[in-house]
Amino acid sequence: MINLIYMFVFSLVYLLLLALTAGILTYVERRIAGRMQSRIGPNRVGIQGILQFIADLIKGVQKEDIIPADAYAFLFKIAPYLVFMGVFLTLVPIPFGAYTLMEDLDVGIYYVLAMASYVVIGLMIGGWASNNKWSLLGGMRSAAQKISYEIPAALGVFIVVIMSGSMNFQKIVAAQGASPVDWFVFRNPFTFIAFNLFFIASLAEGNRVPFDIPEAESELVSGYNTEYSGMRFLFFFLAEWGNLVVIGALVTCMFFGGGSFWYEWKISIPAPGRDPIVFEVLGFLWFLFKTFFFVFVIIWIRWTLPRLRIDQLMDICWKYMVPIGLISSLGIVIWMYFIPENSTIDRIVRLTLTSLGAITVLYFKYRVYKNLKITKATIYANPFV
Amino acid sequence: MIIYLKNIWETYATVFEGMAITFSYLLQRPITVQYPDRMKESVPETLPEKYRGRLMVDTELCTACGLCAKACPIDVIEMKGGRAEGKKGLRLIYFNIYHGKCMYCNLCVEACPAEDGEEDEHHTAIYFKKNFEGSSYTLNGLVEQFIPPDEARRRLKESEEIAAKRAAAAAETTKNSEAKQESDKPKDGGDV
Ligand code: SF4
Ligand code: SF4
Repeated sequence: MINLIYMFVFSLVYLLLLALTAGILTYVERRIAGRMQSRIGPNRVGIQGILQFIADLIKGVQKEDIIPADAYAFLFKIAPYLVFMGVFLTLVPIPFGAYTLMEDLDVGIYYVLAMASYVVIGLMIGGWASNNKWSLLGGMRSAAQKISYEIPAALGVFIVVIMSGSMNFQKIVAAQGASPVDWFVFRNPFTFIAFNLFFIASLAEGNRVPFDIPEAESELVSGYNTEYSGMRFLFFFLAEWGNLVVIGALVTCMFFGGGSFWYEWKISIPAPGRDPIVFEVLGFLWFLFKTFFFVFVIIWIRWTLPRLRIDQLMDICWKYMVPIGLISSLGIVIWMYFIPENSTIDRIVRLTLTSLGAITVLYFKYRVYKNLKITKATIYANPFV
Repeated sequence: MIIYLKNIWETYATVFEGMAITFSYLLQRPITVQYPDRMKESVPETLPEKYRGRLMVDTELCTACGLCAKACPIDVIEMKGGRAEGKKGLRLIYFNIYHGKCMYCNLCVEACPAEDGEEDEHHTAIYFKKNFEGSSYTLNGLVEQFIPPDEARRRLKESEEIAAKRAAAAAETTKNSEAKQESDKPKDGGDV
């Protein structure tokens, strides 16, 4: 009984936190989008517009909940909840800290992949039950897209699983370390490819630009959620932004060392002088920092790239990502057989890749600086206007 | 194969470039101004020299010639001039501008002959202000009466009186002249 209450309270807290984070993310995204387009973005509700999402929520709740006359009412009603639930459930095994997680599943990654495809059902049902051809097309497209992109995502995950020898998130994080050299992205070329595969495929699975074909505002009138209004419509959006957090957290866990600080992950007996709670909190914050960095990157990509055509989308998946994924999953097996961990070659490769990453970041800085020079703009880094 | 690798490389290179550009915008000040309540300077000051805002008439300068009303292709200007006490020439009786119709074509301003002798942007009697504000919830709210209705009524009456007086005077003169002519005629008899 006490376990049940404990479970209930925890899931409620998680749910509220996710909803709140998703809400704040809508605001953050709009501010970032504004600045990238030389606009300001919402800044009137509350201090700098931080309460904008609450205003939107109130507006959404006030709207009439319209169910089209010919829609299949029951399925139409539950579809948004299915989508939101699918996104929320993916959070279950993600370790925000060594102890801050809902359930330490042994099949963590597998479970996440399964839940990610479960979202498709919600989208399909929503699209079909609306009895509207745009919605149906949107739903079909999203199903086609998610199913295709599940393969590269799974191949990326597969490489990580081989590297760490476990599907448990805790063990995957523990297999990496605190410094960038130990992260899986820079471990060897194949894991780097795996990172790219997984990240791109997650974008596609989360219906984010440049893979937002199921939603395609300009062609499909917003796709599967055309007929939705009010609160149900908001649920789709909550799911979409909640999904950003999930993607960010997954990428952080699998490729960027999770929340591991300069201490070993999951120290059961803390060394003298180390307060486990302080380290837990620090690890948690470090994890959140990385997660939100990736959320920022996803938002940034959205406001940079145009949408792909459907044939380009399928090209990228089947002609590029799947073959590359297959080759690199073969490659990782060979690599692991011939080059043992911490051998000289391994270390050299790690260091090279890490420094390549650092060089990319530096070059990126240089390009940004150049662009600023071309536009002759003065730098105004203050996020508030 | 080479095309294949080149495609991959180009994808990454172009995305990289694009992201560098958008990031550089993130570091710039937005161009948008927060009109109307969070402006550092008043908007009309920032507008260019020849900006055409709402039409304005200098009722003192205007000679009520009616050229602007004739020049306007869409009858935005509705005006009438009349005689006034102690003033040579015509005076405005009413001058209404239907701002909702105006297309800011400048024809009326070009037609206006009354000038104040200065060489600035509004040296004519009818000119464009820089002010563009003045939205209204009704169509009638967009009609601007430069002579208030009461005043217009008064002026109309006055001009009518003067017109009547003059007509009377004119009649008198004609009568007189007629009488003169009459008197110049040989007096055959008959009353005047
Ligand atoms: S600007 Fe053009 S449309 Fe407007 S009142 Fe003058 S002549 Fe008419
Ligand atoms: S053209 Fe100029 S002077 Fe003539 S009526 Fe119009 S505003 Fe007055």
